[in-house]
Amino acid sequence: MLDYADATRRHWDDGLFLLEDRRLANADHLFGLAAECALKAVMLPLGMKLRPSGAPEDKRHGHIDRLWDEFGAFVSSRGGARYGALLSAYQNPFAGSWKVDQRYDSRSGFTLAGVASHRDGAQTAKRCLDAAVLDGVIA
Amino acid sequence: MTNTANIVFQQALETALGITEALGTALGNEIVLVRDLRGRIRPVLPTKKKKDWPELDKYRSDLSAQLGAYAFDAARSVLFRDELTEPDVVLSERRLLKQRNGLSIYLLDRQIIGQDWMRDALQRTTTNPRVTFFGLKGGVGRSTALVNWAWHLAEQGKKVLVFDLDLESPGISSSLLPPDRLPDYGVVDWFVEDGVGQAHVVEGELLVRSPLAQGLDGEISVIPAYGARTEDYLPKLARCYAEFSGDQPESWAERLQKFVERMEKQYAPDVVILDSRAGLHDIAAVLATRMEAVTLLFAIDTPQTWRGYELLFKHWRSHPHLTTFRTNLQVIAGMVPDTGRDAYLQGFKEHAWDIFRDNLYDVTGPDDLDTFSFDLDDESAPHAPVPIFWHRALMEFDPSKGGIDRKTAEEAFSLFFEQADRLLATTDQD
Repeated sequence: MLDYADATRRHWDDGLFLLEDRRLANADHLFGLAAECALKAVMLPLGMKLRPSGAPEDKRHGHIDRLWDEFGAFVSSRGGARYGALLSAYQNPFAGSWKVDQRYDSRSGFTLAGVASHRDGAQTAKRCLDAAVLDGVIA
Repeated sequence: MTNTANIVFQQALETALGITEALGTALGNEIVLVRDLRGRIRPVLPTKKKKDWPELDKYRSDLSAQLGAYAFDAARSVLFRDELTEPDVVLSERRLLKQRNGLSIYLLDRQIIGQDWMRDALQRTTTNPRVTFFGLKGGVGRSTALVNWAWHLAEQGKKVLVFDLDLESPGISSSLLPPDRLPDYGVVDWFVEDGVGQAHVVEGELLVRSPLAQGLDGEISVIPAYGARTEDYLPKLARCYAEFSGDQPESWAERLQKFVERMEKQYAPDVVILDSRAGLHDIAAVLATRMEAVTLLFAIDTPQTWRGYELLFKHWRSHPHLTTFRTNLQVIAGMVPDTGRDAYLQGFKEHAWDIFRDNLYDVTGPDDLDTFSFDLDDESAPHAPVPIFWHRALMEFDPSKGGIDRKTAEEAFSLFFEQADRLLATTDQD
């Protein structure tokens, strides 16, 4: 069952768990997924359309390295500018440094600083999610 | 038992409060009732402690069953603190509703327009006094009083800067500036350009001198709501109240403060006059509560006026910084009729006193000193009306033909000028 908010939480919690143990590669992967799920959790009730498979119809609404920059325009055109503003204060921390295909990469390519910046990015995305939950935009 | 089909906005909060109070501390010591953008209520509970928790199940189903259209489904009818990323941050704006038997119940009110005016006064670096002209409705002589006081100040050699912030019905600008003297841009342009982080593009083209003050020792400059090159006024107005500046989230009040301050720095006025948007709205209230301005509350003695002010004052009563801004309030009796003046002003004063006493004044004993409390007949009280007398010449007043004649000004405004000058002198000393 699709539940972006719940998925955000498990990716986030597990990412923190792995980071604590310095298992950087998978922690990094999970922070990217947590951020993606958090933003999609906000976009869905604001009208993001899904295909029968559950994937978003719009190809730009894929993984976080691109999604971060698409989020503002999407939510702003649908009455969610207040969430866009929470994100737009920050440069996309995932652009060029996080790719879903890195799950095939060697562990040697991940640094603590890089993972920490993705953790902070995921936290920012989670703040948007919190705001939308408290606003009742997300049930 | 209330029929849940008929639950309306305010009953939802009362009902949720009742259900929550009945819990005692069964689910924890602190519960925050979150009222969402539409008014639905969902509590945030402390971290969930047990898997099977009958009290929690009952609480959920009670909320879901009794709040009618203001409920969430039972499965999502409560949140837990640890579901939130930064609970301390997002819940910090909660306010206490009730404290009893070890349980504290708070309200976190999520609104479409932020509750800017509930916060503390904004920091500023300029020191010139500011005076807000505030009214609940048009047609109470607010604009005419503003124009004439500005003229009176300029006559004394003062540099006056007027902001037309009544964006929904801009008027002051046209009283102070003929159409061919408008600057290129206005207040709405500043807000729209600031929204994309480039307010500086229009900042040099906002302010223009009013010809009204020609020949006087001082001057009046005006920042109108719109300028000669503004064009799309309504689409711009619809974007003015956004809560971001460039890429940064920023409350409307902070943006306004930044705007006023930047223009003050540019122009170095002796006095700033803010013509407030009329009405009860949050945006108008910011000018009275957060700008460190003397606020002149314009009124006429009608039941509608006092009911309106009563609504506003009731809201202000719970304002965390009431004690700071209430000392800056002064009621102005606009358009006092030319017959039966004394009786009119007596009735006016009694009505004003009723709502000030009930909402904004401290309750005191006879020997209390240093309290904010005034008798009905205290002439220095904020509720004591400063009259502006209705005068036929004011109806015909045409600023494009120069200032008002001295005799009319004297008859209509002498008491108002005197009191407004006094308030100005008081803030100038602070």
